[in-house]
Amino acid sequence: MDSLLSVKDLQVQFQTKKGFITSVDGISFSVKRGEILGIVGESGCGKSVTSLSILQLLASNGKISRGSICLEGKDLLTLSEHEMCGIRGNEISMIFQDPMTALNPTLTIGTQLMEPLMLHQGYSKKEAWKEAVEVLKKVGIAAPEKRMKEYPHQLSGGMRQRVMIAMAVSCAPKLLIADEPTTALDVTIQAQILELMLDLRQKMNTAIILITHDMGVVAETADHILVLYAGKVVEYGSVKEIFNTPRHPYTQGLLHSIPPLGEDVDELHTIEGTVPAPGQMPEGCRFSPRCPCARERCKKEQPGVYHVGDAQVSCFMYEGDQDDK
Amino acid sequence: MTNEKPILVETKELTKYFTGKKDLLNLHPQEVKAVDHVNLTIRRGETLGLVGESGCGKSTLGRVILRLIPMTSGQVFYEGVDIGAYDKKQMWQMRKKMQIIFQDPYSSLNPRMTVYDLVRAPLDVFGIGTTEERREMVISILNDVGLDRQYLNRFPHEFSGGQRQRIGIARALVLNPEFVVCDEAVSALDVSVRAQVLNLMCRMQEKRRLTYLFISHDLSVVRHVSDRVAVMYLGSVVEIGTKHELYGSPLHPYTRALLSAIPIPDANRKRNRIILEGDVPNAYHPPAGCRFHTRCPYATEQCSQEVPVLRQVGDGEHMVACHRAEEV
Repeated sequence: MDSLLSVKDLQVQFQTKKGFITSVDGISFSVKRGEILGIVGESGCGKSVTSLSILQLLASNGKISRGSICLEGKDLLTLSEHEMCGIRGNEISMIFQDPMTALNPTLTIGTQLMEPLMLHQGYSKKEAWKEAVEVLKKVGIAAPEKRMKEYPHQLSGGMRQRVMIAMAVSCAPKLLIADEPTTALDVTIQAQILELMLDLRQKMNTAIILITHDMGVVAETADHILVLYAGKVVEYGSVKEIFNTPRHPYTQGLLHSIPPLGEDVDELHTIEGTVPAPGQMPEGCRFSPRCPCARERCKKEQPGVYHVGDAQVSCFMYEGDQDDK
Repeated sequence: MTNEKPILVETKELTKYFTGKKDLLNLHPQEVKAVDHVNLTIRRGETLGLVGESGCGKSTLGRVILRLIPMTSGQVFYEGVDIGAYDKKQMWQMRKKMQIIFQDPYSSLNPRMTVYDLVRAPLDVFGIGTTEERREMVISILNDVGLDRQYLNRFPHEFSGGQRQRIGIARALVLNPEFVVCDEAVSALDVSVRAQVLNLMCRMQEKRRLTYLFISHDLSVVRHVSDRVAVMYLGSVVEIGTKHELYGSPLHPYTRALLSAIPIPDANRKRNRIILEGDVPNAYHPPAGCRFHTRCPYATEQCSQEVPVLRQVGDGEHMVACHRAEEV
């Protein structure tokens, strides 16, 4: 399989006053060229930590304690900080949730857009300016020359997110990590931005990791989904497979708790309880205290990852169904 | 069926302008028309959903109705009485009947007060019951919202977002109000917890015969909880109807675009999205005529000059403010 990025058995720990806390535990996935992988889960499930570890941008108290992250066969974890700088913004770039805090308020849009081009691609100032205007056009910003001289506060939320995307794709990265790119935006603007990302994927064949808590956004844009719960993979497979036949009780519960748009329901399905706090993880399957199908064994042992159909599920119910490949 | 329910809250030409940027000498202060001549009725026991994008004035409308911020002009009637004319003392008494649940369960609870103090505060303010009775009332309402009495002496930071929102709900309901404004009450919660809180709010409504004004930007949540839904754009209501009318056959081009933009968690559906061009216009300089005409795919000459008024379409309760609603 020619995968662009492959993450194997990733474990991330954070040092706190109460000792080490494992926030991501044994996550594996891969992304092919031009593929969109959606990573979904509730707050605190480790989605953002996973993406930050790919770029090695974890906070100073966090460390990758196990696993490997390979970009085109090259293990990023063995690279020096200097070599990593050549990857960030160039081969892998990132879009953050809040475009207001991610842009520098004291620099013009132009300055911020030209920086990666001059740094990574060795463009002269003139060339970088020209290229930056081109990129702004590509992401659908009207009057790009004028916008280049403006500051972030002069733009609306949707425009700022477009500028962020322009900045991220200016060096034609192989992989784009979008961490909740539309959460801070209104639905009509969200639709514009998602459309733009699909369009860029088509034009530039960029692979995208789309991190979100919105199942609707994933269903409409992603090819594959990785569902996380409390730092572990719950289910992983193609969008069709997972939305049509969700297998893990958590995925099922999550999909059922969304109010449907086309029909009336009296009472919404709920998942009882709340996500366990980091450091207070249950011994067995992490979902077992909230799981309607939990058995004795689930409370004591952690399930492995089983291949069922086209998906991978981490639940004992599917242990027997595993077809050996 | 809903027609027979008596009207609880009604607004007539309710307007709120905020004075914003001032020029030199303050000769021409600029105004933001946050709520612009809004007419709404809310019937006893129903839930009216209010949707719109950020900055459309939906939260301001909720607050002006409760008189948490003063109105610029217009009237608010509660059980037929104009509460806009009430003085401070009369309004004070009204507050028992009207409550609000806020969006952010983190900043709306005083971090230095225990759960017991937080929920008891409204009872103290209105001097209801003896200390013993208050304690009983607090325990019973916490029980109703699904919090055990062992949590009484804990502080807000010890709770998760969903639990905090339950405390907020308990605090709003402890006085036995009739009318509750829910301002983005579940927007900060995760999906699985959101469903729990939504179910709780629906149960409470049945049990206590509450009337809700449910403000949210999430159209699927609004559809689930509401009987009728109003859509706002730049300070005005552009469409209102029962949820089946509004979601089943939306008439206003903005409502249609809004509905088509909702991502649906279904991998088999490929829909024709209506992608609106551009952003919401600057509120200081709203477009003349229909405020939506700058982004509307069907706009004509007339739309840029005449302001459309909300008018009835069909024989139901469906109302729309669009010149071309029948044609498009």
